[in-house]
Amino acid sequence: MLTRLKTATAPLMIVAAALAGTGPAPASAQEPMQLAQLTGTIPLEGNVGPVCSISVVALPAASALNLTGGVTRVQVGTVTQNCNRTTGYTLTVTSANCALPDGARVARAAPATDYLEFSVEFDNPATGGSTDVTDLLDTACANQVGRTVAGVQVFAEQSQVYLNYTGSALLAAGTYQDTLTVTMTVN
Amino acid sequence: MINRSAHKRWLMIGVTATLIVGAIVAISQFPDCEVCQAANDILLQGTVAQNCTIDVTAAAAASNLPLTTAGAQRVQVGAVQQSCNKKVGYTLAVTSATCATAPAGAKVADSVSGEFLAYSGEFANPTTGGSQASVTGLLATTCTGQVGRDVTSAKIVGESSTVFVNFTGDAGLAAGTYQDTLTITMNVK
Repeated sequence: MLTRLKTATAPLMIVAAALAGTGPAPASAQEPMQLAQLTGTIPLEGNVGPVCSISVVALPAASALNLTGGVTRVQVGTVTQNCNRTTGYTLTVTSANCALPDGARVARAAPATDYLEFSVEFDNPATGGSTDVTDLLDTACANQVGRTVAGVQVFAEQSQVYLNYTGSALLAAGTYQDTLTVTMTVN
Repeated sequence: MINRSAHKRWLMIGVTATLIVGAIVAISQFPDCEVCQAANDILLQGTVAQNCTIDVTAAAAASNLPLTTAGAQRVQVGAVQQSCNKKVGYTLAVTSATCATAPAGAKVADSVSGEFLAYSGEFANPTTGGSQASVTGLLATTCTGQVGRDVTSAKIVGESSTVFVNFTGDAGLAAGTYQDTLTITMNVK
């Protein structure tokens, strides 16, 4: 009987020691202390492509220029612009008849020596640091920037295109023409 | 010379004393009755370790979100495979790397333009352990405590929750790359 009692004390003492934290703990006593934490990630990404466009509309006045009437400022067209690239863009303008040193001009087909010089003006919204620009194509034919937009998107903004010239009553009779080309260059 | 009667008396005194001493020893070693009962038991014990894991897999669509497609978009961006042998259960919490940036709420953002598109998370779950089949609106306006699945009193073996993002496409977004990272955490109870 005494032998049985002594043998029975062993598990009792182990459990007591475990509860007191002084001996090896069974898993059942330790598990509530664990806070397993596992993680995983999902990277999300979407791309928005550049969508930039211009629509150039000529006004009726562009084909009915008063070439003999002295100092003239006439609106000849509009440039409607959209661009979702915040890096911006430029609008450049070229003239089909541009030639140095006189720059842009409306000219008769023949003889080509009959012409009237003009310069181009862009009246711009102020978005993206834009300002009005004058004297385009006056003395240069290349790199004539009518608008510079930086750091913003542009939605349906419109620049007004004007011609500035001094008409001459001495012009020979005939049809004087030129073509302006407006180009958007996205940064 | 002790006579027989006296010897018998002394013998009885001796036996009684031995029993009393034995009883005192027994009581001092096992002061309560439970111990006396345990003395006849054999303690058998085995331990099964806790084994709880998740495996998060991103779907291909997660890196090609249709941000400019008009209208409400619901895109499956990943799956969370779960196993947990701990029957008290667990939760799956979700966080977003961009959520805390004002305005609060999950968003994919373009670091160049500074533009963003807000979204919310959605978990589609098996219903084991009392889980809701669908948990929506996660991270819409709150960045912490967002639980996509709550499992209680069940052992989970190889179950999968599906993760969606919900947003409204915006054709007016600036060109660029919009990003965020969802982090899913299993918290075992």
